[in-house]
Amino acid sequence: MNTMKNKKLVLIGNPNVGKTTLFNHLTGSTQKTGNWAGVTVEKKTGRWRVDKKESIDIVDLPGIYSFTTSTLDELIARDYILNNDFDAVINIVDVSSLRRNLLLTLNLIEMGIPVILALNKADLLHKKQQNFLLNFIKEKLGIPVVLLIAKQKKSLDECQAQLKEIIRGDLTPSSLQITYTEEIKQKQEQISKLIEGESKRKAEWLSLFLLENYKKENELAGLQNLSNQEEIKAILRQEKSNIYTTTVAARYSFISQTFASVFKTKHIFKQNASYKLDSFLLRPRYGIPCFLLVMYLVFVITQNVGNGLVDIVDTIGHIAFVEIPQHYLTLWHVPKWIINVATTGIGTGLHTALGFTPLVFTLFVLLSILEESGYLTRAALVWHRYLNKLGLPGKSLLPMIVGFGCNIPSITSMRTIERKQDKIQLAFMLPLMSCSARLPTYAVFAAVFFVHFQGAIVFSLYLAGCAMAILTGLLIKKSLLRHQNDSSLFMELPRYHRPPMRNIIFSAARRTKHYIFNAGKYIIITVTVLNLLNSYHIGDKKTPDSTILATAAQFVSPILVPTGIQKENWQASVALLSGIFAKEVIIGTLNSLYVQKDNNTVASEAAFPWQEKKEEIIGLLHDYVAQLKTALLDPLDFGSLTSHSKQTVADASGADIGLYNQLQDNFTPWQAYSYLLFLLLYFPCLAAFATLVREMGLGIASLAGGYVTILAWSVATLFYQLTTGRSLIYIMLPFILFLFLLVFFPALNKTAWFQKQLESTEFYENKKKYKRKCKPNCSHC
Amino acid sequence: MSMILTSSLEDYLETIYLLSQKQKPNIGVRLTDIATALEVKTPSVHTAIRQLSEQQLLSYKPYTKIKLTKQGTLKAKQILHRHTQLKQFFTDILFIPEEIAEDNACKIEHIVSPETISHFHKFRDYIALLEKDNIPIRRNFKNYLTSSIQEKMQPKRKIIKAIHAEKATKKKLYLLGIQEKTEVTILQYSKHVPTVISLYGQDIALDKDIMQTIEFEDVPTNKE
Repeated sequence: MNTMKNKKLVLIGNPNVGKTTLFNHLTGSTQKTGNWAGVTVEKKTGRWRVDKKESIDIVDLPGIYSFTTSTLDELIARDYILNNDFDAVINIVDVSSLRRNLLLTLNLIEMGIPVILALNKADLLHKKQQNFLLNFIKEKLGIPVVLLIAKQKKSLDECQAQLKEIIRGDLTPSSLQITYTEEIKQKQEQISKLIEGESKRKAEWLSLFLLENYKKENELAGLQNLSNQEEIKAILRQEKSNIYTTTVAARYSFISQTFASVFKTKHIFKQNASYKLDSFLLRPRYGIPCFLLVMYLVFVITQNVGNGLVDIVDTIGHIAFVEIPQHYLTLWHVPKWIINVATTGIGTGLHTALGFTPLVFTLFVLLSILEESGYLTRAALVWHRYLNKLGLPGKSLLPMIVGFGCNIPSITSMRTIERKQDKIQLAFMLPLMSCSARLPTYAVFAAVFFVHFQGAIVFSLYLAGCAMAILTGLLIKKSLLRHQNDSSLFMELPRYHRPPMRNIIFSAARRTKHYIFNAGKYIIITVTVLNLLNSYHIGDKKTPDSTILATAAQFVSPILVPTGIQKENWQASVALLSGIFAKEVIIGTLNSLYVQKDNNTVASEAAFPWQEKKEEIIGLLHDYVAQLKTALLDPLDFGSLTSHSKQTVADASGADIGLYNQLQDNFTPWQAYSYLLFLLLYFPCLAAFATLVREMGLGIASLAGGYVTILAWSVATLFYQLTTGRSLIYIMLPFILFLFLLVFFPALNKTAWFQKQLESTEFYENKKKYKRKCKPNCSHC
Repeated sequence: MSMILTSSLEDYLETIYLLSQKQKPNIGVRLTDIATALEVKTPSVHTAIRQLSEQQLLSYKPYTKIKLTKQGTLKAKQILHRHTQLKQFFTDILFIPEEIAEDNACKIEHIVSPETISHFHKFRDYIALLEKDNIPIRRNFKNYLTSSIQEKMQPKRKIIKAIHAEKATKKKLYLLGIQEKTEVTILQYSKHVPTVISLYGQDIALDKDIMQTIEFEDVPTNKE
């Protein structure tokens, strides 16, 4: 019966100041991540075990620069602070950008809450300077200060100890006041009188906030719980001039004047020592080849490191999910159809998807390294000129690259793009970035049909994806987003710094886990359902083609026939449909539908051959290590996929040798490639689609999904017909579809609905859920 | 052979020669013309003429036009040749702009020894030889000059005078601390890449549309 509530602390600061590192240190493994209510921003909470008796709850707010209404992050932070009880805010400040960081600090002080300042990257200063600055800030701002060097464990420990002291002491808020002009003060007083139920300071801050962020569309800037709303709105409406620039200027003036002596000390704000590196990377002559090289390395490393592990994980998976269940279920005389579903269906599906986790994990880690080191920002700048030709800002490079790992984080990172029209354009392009879930299918087909140049085939698919994305970008820009000006760039260049490997690996592990569970969930459900549908027959004949599933599929197949799928090959159509749930499912579906396992297997031995299996795994480990050495010299080979033996490749991609033969029976090489083209381009997986809906709304998301599917059909059809089919109608159709789009999109542009889509930049008008009133002290978040 | 003339006398000789070339042969040069050409007063010319005539480089009889002696002409030609050679070296090999080349050649020609001139000459020949062998030395050097990091990467310190951007952009700029009277450093790495503004420890990239809305002025020179 613990009636004493834990103390609560909130972490806040600019993005990339080292908040996460401190948070991780304080909370360790107790941290939980989720989403803030109704939105896709990550929310982190955890518990700091101060000592045996005391624990403190810690909430990590998103990184923000100030409190305006431009981004979701700012609003989440603001609402949390206004509507919740906590003991103090730990404001983490980066010493190397002190001036800008202090803007947020001033805001927090003006809000009337207790602030503890943590000066991170203190190692940029000499000891004497550190102490001077610490005392200086303490004196001038009236708040406690601790020093921090987030990358050194010793410093983190010391900081932790100091925080402990401070928290146990007196935490009165600072009484610092910033002087504004008379005019502003008057208006501030007018409004703050009308705000009831808040402390004087908070009311003053709120009135200033309202004056700064007044917009006709949302007069109260998302603040729901105010009293006297109509009177306040009346005062705000009279306000014509742009108060924000005045108040910010006043705050910066205060900072400049107070800290003038600090800023004069040149070596704190010494110019970015990475100028040499920038002058190399930011000049297109060197920067672009460098970028291509880096991307190439990323893929090579992923393929060689990740892929080799795929063998091992896959084999373990195969043993765990297929062989062991098969053995024991048979032994226990479980009904055969259950065995079939469990092993051929679910088991295969699972170990295929899980087999690829090393690949996914490696890709996540590498991309995080590129992002955290500060490199990707430079790449975005150097590409800005070319992306601008598509109408996109340089920032969109990041989502596009991330999309090669998984489309979901790629769509989420669209949030950093400011203009709605750029987001719309990207929404159409991002699903075309071939995600790693499609790779197993590419791999198997490449191994079956294009044995001698598998790597080239897979690479060609990635290239095709990029090419289609560029063409799509141009199409959307010209037809759907007509008369919109080119995007202008406004980007901060973070300093280069060594990527925090611990954070990255944790984060990648977390995302991979999420990926696994997501895929696993879909695979189990989809394969079970499909298998069930495939077990029951319609009519009297009990042929494989007369099951419920087959019959239903045969209605859909005619549409897919022009793309090369043979009429009798209904399994392929079903596989594509199942791919809408999750792309990893496709091989599992194909395998379970094609291969009718012999239902009469009886376990030949009573004991499971554990030793044999162990040796098999160890053998693979050896091979992997040996392969790593040669792999470094042999790039684009995609690791184990170059093995010419069908069996090895089959094992690596989790399909049966039986599947091989079935595939060869049902596809010709041209048809296979065409099928892969379709897979490359069509509708994204459900999870990605759901993310797209969250970011862009159902309308745009559906348009994008529909578009890419039509594109997939057109490209696959065109390819197949030009190479094999030679049917004039089907060659003409894609062009007709294209012409249709050229007419449809501009027409759509003119509709009121679309114009509204372009305008709403205030996300909180879109997200109805966010409007739900947040009650103070509710324990939801 | 070693008639040492002061540089100003050499200039006189050279000028007289050039002026006399412009006219029909055997017609001399007028004193006033020389004065105009060299932008000096007539008395100064008078003194120079007297000195030159003492050196037997020209003939001057009162109230007649000035003519160079054979020796004078020879000497003048030498001087001119030197001048031309130097200037050509500066423009053709070092790619120095014409005006500066002319001015520098004018000044340097007086101090440079014949041997040095000869080596300049020979270096030029050497370059010509390499180029005959299809080694595009001068082209490479020219490229090097125009894309030289040293030239581009001169960070310029400026103060923001005014920001004319529209409301939303202005707000964003203010938020980052970019406002009137802020002192910044401008870095332009390449004309194809957005400009980077550095201030108080942050680096921010702005493309030319936004940059055009910001008015800069130079830092007053009494600051360091």
